[in-house]
Amino acid sequence: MAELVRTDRLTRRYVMGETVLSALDGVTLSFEPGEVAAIIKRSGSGKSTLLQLLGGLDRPTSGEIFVRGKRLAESSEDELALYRRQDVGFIFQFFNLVPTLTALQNVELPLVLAGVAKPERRRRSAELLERVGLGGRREHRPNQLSGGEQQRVAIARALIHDPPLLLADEPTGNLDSKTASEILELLKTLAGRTILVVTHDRVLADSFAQRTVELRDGKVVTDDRR
Amino acid sequence: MTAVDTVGMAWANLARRKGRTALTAAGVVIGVGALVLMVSLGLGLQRQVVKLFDTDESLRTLTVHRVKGDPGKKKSAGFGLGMDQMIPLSDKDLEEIRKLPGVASAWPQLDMFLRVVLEGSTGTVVHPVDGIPPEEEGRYTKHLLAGTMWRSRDEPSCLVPRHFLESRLNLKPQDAVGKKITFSGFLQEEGDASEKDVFTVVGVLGDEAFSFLGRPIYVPLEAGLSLRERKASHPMLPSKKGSYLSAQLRLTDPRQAEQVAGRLRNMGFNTLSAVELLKQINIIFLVLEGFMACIGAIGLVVSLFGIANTMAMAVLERTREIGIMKALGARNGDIGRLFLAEAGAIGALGGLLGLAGGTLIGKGLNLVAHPLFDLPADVSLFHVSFWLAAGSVLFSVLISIVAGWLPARRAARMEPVAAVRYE
Repeated sequence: MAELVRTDRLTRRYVMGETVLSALDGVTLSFEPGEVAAIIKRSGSGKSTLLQLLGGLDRPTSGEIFVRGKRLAESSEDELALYRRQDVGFIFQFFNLVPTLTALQNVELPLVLAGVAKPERRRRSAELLERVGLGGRREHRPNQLSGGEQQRVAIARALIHDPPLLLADEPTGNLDSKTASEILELLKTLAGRTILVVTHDRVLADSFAQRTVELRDGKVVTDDRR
Repeated sequence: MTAVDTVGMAWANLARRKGRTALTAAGVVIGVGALVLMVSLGLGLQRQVVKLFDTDESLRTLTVHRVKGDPGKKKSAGFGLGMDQMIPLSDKDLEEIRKLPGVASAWPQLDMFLRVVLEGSTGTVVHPVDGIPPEEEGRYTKHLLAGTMWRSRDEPSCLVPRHFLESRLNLKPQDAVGKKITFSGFLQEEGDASEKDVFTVVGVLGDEAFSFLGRPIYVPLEAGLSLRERKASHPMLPSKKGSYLSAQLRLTDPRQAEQVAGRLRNMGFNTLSAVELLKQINIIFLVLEGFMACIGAIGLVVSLFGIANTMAMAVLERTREIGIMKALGARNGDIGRLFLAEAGAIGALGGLLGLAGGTLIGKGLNLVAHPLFDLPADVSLFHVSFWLAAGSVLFSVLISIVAGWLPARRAARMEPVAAVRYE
């Protein structure tokens, strides 16, 4: 099957004063459409770097990222924004909802940016909130929602534009174990698109992903398919 | 992101921070209010002055005189010329002027002020008196507010301006018709008037009947020349028949004023026309209004720094929000436009409130000024034109956008990953 995303000797270094930190060091990986993979990494600096690079939020120090065969490095700022808007859905550890917007407004934000007409985006957002079990909370602001509810809103927001690539960065990292398993169940229902989950929790990875990739010191140490 | 969504989001963001938005907009309100008030005063005064000149009578007539020295070289003698510098015009001069193409008629000006006593009124009023030649009678008839044109030019009758009756004698037009007016010389004793100096008011003329040169009491020209001979005893001024300080001429077409004036200058005369004066007056007012706009704009420029500060704070506070929006696919331009729209909305809000405030204060001052300076009801000292209203609001929006430019650029260029990491 043709790959959706491929990295080639992907390297990202951060310069902090006089020290140079290698978050990624020559990572070569490819992910097929519909593949669900967990990226396991020891806690440390640059934990989310791979997802940020794959999502077009950051640019690599060296190496390449190909999306459907196209080099991401060749994209302009606006093309990267368009890529994030059409092809990528982000789920963050700290939810990253806009605190001043309601649940419904947060979910519809990607469609606002895409210029979708208000009635349609309202309808689609309400449907998705219903699907993640928050039909009755659409007018609540993030500070009126529990952590689990906020992450559900964030998941709905990541799915609103139906992206082929879903990037989740420690999606249960900030939740209690009961809520975490609920969120995990919800993520499992999203199969059919490429889902990459960064986590430090191997149990979570095993229960969820068909493939686990382990990174250590910025390098791939294991890549297991089940 | 559509323009409607950008503006809607900008308003929502401002509405969430009401106190700060109000304080920032207050600077704009004061700036625009001052600007509107200052410029509207200039416009109001300009309108009053232009009204005097911009009548059909003013545009159709031209005043001719002759100045000593290099004849014809001086384009316009203006008002400030000494009497000793003038060469009186003769009947022969008038004949020549009448022959010029574009000239419908020409007649002497009396250039005379007389003491006026109206029957039934106490005290005397000094007022200009001028003559109407037979061929010009027709055009005054249509401006009669009360009474009629004189039936015979041999009768001692006169037409008085409404303005003169209302402002100086507090009389209504219809109450003046039929009353006697006694003229006596400006420098003579009051009691010297004889029967020949008593005229009957036959009609009252509206403002439209007069040119910018003034609103005299009109008598038949011949009677006026005779009055001048007897009463106008100023040593510097010509008073004998056949010698005149100035003449007035009527153009066949007001658009020919410049050409006719040119021909007259070639003949050695000097001219004074409403068109020339209007040009000069409008230039003076343009400079005055520009000056007032500059003073008013100082407040607006000061408020610019307030807007810049508020927007810079907003960008810092909303770093994470910017990052989230970028992660969700916002382009740099979307973010930049959002912040510019917020700055512009502060300008629009402040501009509209400032316009309303400036207009209301102007109206209030008008109300106070009317009884204070005894102004006629139709005079408005402050005038807010459409262009002033639209221009001041647009200017404040523009200034605000300029003020928001740097913060918006900073927001737009923010690295999405750095912004998302910001906790």
